[in-house]
Amino acid sequence: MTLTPEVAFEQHRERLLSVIYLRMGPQLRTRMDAEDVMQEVAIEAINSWHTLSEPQNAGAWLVTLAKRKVARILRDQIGVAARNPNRERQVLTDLPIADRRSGPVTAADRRDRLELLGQALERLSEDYREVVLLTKIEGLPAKEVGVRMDRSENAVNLLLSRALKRLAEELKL
Amino acid sequence: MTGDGPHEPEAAPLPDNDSSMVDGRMADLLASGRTGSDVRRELEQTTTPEGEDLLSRLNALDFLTGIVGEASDMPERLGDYRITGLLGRGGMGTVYLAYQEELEREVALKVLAPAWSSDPTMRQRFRAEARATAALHHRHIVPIYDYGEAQGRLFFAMERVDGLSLDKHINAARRRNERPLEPREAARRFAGVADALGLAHRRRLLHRDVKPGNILVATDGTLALTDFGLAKALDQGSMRLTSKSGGFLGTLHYSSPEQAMGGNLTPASDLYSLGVTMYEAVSGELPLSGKTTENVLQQILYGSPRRLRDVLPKPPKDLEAVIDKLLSREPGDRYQDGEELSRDLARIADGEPVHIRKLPMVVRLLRRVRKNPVLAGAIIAASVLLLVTVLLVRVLREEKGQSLLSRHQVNLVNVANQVRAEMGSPWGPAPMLQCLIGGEPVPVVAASEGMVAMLARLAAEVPDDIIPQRMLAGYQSDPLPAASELLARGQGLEALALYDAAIGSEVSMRTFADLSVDLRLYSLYLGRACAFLTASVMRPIDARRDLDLASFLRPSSVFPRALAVVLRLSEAADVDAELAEIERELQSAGADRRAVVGRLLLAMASLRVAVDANLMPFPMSFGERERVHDLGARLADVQPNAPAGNGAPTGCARELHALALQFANSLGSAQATAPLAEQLRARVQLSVHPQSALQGYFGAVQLLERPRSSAPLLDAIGQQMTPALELASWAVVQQLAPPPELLGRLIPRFLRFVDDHADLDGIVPVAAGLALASRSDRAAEFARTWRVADSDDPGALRCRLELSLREGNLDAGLDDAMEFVQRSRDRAEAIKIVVRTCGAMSADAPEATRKGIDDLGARFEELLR
Repeated sequence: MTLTPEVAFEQHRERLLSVIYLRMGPQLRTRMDAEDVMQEVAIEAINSWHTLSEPQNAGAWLVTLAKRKVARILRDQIGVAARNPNRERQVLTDLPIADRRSGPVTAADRRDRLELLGQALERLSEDYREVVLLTKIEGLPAKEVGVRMDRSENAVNLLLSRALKRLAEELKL
Repeated sequence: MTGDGPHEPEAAPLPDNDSSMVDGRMADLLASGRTGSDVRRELEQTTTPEGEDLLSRLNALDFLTGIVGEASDMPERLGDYRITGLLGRGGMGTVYLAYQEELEREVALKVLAPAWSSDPTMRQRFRAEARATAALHHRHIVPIYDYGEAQGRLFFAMERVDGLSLDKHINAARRRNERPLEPREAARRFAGVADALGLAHRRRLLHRDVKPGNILVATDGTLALTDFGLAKALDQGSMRLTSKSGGFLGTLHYSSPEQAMGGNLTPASDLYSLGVTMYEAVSGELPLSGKTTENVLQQILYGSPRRLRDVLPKPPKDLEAVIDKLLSREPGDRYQDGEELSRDLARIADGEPVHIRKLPMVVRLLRRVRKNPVLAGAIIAASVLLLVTVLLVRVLREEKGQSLLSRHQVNLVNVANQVRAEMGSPWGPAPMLQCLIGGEPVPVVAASEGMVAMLARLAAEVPDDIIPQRMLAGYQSDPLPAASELLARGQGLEALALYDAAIGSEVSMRTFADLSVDLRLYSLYLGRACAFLTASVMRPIDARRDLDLASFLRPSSVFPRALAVVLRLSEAADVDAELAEIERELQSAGADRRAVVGRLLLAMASLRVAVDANLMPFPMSFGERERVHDLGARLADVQPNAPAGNGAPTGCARELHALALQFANSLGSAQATAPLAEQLRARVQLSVHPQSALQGYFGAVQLLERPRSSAPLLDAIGQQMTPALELASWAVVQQLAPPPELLGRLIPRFLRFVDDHADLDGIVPVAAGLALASRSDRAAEFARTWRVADSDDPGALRCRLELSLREGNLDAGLDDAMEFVQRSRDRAEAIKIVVRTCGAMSADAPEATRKGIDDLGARFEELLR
């Protein structure tokens, strides 16, 4: 069976949603829903599927698409539109939203955890945040992260090690 | 919290060199990828600070990998198998992709979660189910190759099916706006699965968890059932899977009614789940839709599935009939075995006719009725008449002498159904209605005297039978006067406890034939719904559930339907569209019903001060509030131009407010303050639900008592307040209008809160009000935001008026004052407010502008005469 963009998207759904949500940052999050951005990334993926050379790189390729999309939105949106405080209406419910298919790790639960992580990451320094996002959320190998952050592979692991400590404190783990 | 640069020493309890040692060790683990369970097990033995530090970093790592859906503790190998990837995770364990080296083949390796590896019951189940599955050789069941244990973990190896599970395909299709499977094609593929279930059932094995996630789609499109028999073990671990409120998550949509109720399962239960799966596979929709667990549960138990033709244009008739049959509520009405289903599906795939035994007409009619309890009244009445006639005829024919007892039984059923179909209130929701909307008497259909007489006659007929006596009591009198009394006083929380207990005991008493319980339950559910809607409880979702149940028990009654209208409006995305819809619906309704809904809407909008009203506040913009108010006035036939006073505290809230005012006035004299604060706290603890906004009184006391503290606000049960409750606390502070210098001390904390929670519903008016009162320089900013956010709200204009006057901008002040008066409902009141505001501002104004402000005030005062 050949890999279709829809199937690839489903396989990497959780990672993509995390990348989008966390890269959006607190300001953009109040204005748009990560799921909506996901939709746009999905459309883009379908349209440019032919540019993907190796199917096994689909995950990394989709992550790149998602990151680019968020960066573009951030550039276009932040600081332009006045925020309308009525747009965001909190859903006041403490009943769980029944998740239809993800089993015990429900989407609602994942969303909560994603939100927790988003808040915790905001309180980390820039370097810590970046190393966590690149290695563990976007899934790049340490070597490649080193190139992007201008550090050696060892230094990246050391940085990640310290970042995890801070993260554990923030998340009270 | 910030500022911990990566190259700076950590602010950790450990000395620097220890911390950097742990940094190094963790970095080594990260580099070698050894972050799995073996290291963790080692660390869990140690109690050194270094060990704990390392463990917490591994926990953080787990948290991250869990979020992106990766396995963090993937073993490198288990026994003969080299693990090469992750295929999925379930409740019981993880499925890995693995390579069996001796036989040189790829397998799927299901591994029992480490958490259960030492639990003997779980181990036994895992083994037993693996054995049972291994005995099932079927083309449409994923076969098991091997079973074993390595490194303390149980596993079994299955055939690796190259493909995704059906749910992923359904998801992908849904995203493309397509149907997942063409109906005939679906019938062909599911025939195999049905046959496989048939085989399992013959071997006395129930799957218990048939759902798209447990069906694999191979590359050639063949479906194969997997995860066999694990569902039972999954139930065992379900304590971990249930939500806080006790609902269960995950596969509820695919559960049969008997499974949802925790009843006995039969092969027909698996077939029901297969029916739901097929329904979804052809239409992309679920037969029951519901957003919350309770909603879905309610639908499974009381609703009936949407017909396939409602979600899929022109489905093959036979397929629809097959699915209808599979989704029957009664297990006995479904297919009884998988082979039979499989044969029918195969016929559909080949375009041959299928002969399904149609359910008797009466049964189908009853199902329709259940589907729409609101419209059911008439049909029920008609069918009851028919039923009663049939029964009577039979009674007459079979027993010439007409035994008194059977006639009595028939009469009883007859009366019970008349009660159910009656529009008015059995014992009168008037007290409940008054509790929610205020002191005025409301026209509600009173209990019919004819009905009382009939019940009394019935009770006298057979004095030994307690059912008619209890029915009479349930019809005539309030089943729980103590709770109604509490409700009337606005003490919803205390009433709630009484209703909960009463409902619990009624439900446990209920036998199917006991009609008297239904009537009492109706009143109790209704009362509890009202309690949920009081300001001291504020749980509209729970109220909706109770209202649905009350409507189900008495389909024609007015009150639950009227209350449901209010709830519908509060949840509507487009309030105006919903209002139009409500008006259309009520056009032909009786005057009573229009009046009841109208009064409720008036209370909901609370533009008009309903003196004793106790209905919880609903978040709405001012403009929406006005339009709700107008419709309410039209329906209830009252003057629409009622005063624009808004948000006057009521019921329990009114008492709390009075106490809080006393407390605020006593600030400065510690002797008087402390006991009042204590009284206020005790009152909140006793009468306010932990999530109600009235907890704001609890927070306000903390703020006013210790204005300089930055400790988090706690609610009455000692939990840190949510931002919504903290906002409610600030709103109370605003209402209490403490002295400016006290407010000045509080305001930095408040501004921090506003900046952190700028998007909180309803924060802007509070921000504007408090900033204005404390003369913060950010008042102008908040007033502007408020004006943009809710341009109809005169409050925003009034706020701007004060700002203009303070700045000495008299021209702008005049404009604001004019607009404020124009926008306000009660112009005279608005003019008085302008005059008062001018008076207050003039007193504080510098010499240069004082005269101008006085003139402005005088001009408006002129208008009053």
